Amino acid sequence: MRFWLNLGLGMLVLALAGQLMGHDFRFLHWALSPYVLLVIAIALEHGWIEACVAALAVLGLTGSGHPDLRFQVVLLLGSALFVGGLADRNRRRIRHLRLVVASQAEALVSQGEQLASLEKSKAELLHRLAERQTSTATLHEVYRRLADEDLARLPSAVVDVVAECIGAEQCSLYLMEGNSLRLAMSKGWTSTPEEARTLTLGDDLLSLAVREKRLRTLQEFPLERLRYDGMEAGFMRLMAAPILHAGSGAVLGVLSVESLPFSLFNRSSTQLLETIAELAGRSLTAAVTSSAASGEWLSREFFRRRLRAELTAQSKGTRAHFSYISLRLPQLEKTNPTRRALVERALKLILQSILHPEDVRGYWEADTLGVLLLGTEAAPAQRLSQDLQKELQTQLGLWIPDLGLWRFEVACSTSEGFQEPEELVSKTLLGARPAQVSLGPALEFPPEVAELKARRQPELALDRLRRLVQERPKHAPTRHLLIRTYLESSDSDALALASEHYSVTKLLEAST
Amino acid sequence: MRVITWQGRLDAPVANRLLADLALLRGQRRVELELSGVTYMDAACFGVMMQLIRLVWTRNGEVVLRSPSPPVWEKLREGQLLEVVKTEVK
Repeated sequence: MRFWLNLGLGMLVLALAGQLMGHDFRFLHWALSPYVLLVIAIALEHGWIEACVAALAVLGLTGSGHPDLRFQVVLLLGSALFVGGLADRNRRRIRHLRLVVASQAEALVSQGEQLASLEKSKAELLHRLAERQTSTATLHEVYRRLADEDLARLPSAVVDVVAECIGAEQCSLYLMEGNSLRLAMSKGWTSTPEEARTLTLGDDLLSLAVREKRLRTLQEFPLERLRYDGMEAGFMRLMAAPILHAGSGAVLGVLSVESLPFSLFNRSSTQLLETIAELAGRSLTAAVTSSAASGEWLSREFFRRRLRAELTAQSKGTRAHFSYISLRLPQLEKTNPTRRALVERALKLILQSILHPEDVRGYWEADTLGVLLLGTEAAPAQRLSQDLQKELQTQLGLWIPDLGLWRFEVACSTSEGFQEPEELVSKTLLGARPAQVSLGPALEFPPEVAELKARRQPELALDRLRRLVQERPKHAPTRHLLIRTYLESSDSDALALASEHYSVTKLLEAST
Repeated sequence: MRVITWQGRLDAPVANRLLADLALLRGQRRVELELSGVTYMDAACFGVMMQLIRLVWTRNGEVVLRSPSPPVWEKLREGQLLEVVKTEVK
C-alpha cells in the first residue's frame, strides 16, 4: 500500500516537475535522471521487487518512442536490482541484529530475575545463619550459666535462663520429693499460690511430663482432663519439661512455663525449653558428682532430695541398691571454727582414702556427716563401714581425743525394717538409733617434743615432728597424708599443734 | 495496525494468556502495545513481549510500546532495549 502511494507520489512530483521544466531534462546528467532517482528511492524504501515494479511503471509511462529505450531499461532495472538488493541485504542484517538484541534482552531480563532471586535466597540464608548463630550463642549462654552455678544457686539460675532465653513471663522450677513436686524457685509471680508450692503427682500437665519423661505442652494435653490446675489462682501451665538425671534418667524435677507471649509459644520455644531442661539435668548431676569429687559438701536439703530420689527410683526397681552411712560428732559443735575446718578436712581425706571419690555423695552439716554409697549393697556397705570406723578410730581419735562420743550408723536400701523410702530417709538423716563408739584415751607426747613444747617453742616442735615423719617413709599413705595436711595447715594455734603431736606420737608408736 | 492492551500484574500465571494475543496478530506488521496499566512484569511476561516483538520484526513490521509503566521501563532498561524498541509516551 505504502509502495503504491510512494510510487504515485513520485510520479506526480516528476510530472509536475516536467510540466514546469517543459519535459526538458537535458541539463541533468543521465545518471541523475529523475526517473532513476525515483526508482532508487523506491528500492531503498521498499526493496528490489518494488523497485523493479517502479522501473517497469516508469518505462510504461515514459518509454514509448524514447530514443534510448534500451539504455533507459538497463539503467532503471539495474538501479532497481542493485540498490534494492543492497537495501534488502542491509534490511535483513538489521532485522537479524534486532532479533538477536531481542533474544539477548530476554536472556538479560531472565538472568536479572534469577540473580534477584539468588540475592533474595542469599539474604534469607544469611538471615537464617544469623538466627542459627544467635541460637548457638543462646545455647552457649544457657550452658555457661547453668554449668557455672553451684547447687545452692542452680534453681535460681535455671528459672532466670528460662525467663530470659525463652521469654517466659512466669516460670517455675519444681523438684521431686518422693511422690510429689516441691516448688524450688519461681519467677514472674508476685506471690505464689499456696496450692502451687507442693503438688502431688496426679493428672495435671506437670505429672504427665514427669510420668512420660518428656516435654508436654498444653496443646497436647487431653481436653477432658483439663480441669483444675491452679487455673483459678492463675497458675496455669503452658509447657512442662522434666529434668532428668544425666546417668540414670530418673526425674529430678520439672520446669514449668506458666505465661509466655503468644508469638513465642511455638516449636522453637519448646525445643529450647527441652534443651534447658536437659542441661539443667546435666548440671544437677555434674554438680553432685563434682561436689563429691572436689571435697565440697552438699547442702543437707539437696542431699535429702537426692536421697529421696534415689529411694524412689530404687523402690520402683529402676535403680541398683545403695547404702547410707551417717556419722555424728556431737562435741564438734562446741569446738572453735579453726578446729572444725581441720576436722572436716580430715574427714574428707579419710573418706576419699577408703571410698572412690566418684562413689561418694556426702553432706556435712552441724555435727553430722552423711555419705550415700551408690550401687553398694548391704554386705560391701558393712565392710566399708567397718573400714571407715577403724580408720576413724585410728585417725580421728588420735588428734582429736576430746571429741567425745560419736555415733555411727549404716542403713541399706535392702535392710529389713526400711521398706518405705520416707522411713529410711527419716532413719538415716535423723539418726534415730545410733551406735555409740567411744574414742581412745589421749596419747603421750614424745619426750623431745614435750620438752620443746614446755620451752614454748612450737616452731621447733613442729620441725621436729616433720623430721620424724620424713624419717619413717613406711607409714601408711593415708596417715602420712593426714599428718602432712595438718602439719602444713598448722599455725601457732596450740590446739592444732597438739593434734599434730598426738598424730605423730601415735604413728611413731605404731611404727616402732 | 493492531492495538493490544496489557494491564495489571503480569507474572508467570498470566503469561499463557498473553501468549494467546500472539495468535491474534495474524500477519499484522504494525502492532501497538498499550502498557500504561501494567503494575508488575516478570521475566516470563517480558519473554512473551519479546516473542511478540520478534514475530513482528520477522515480518519487517514495527512494534510501538505505548506509555510503558515504570515496571516495564525497568525491564526495558534491564534488557537494554530502550534504544531498540520504539516507545511512545503520552
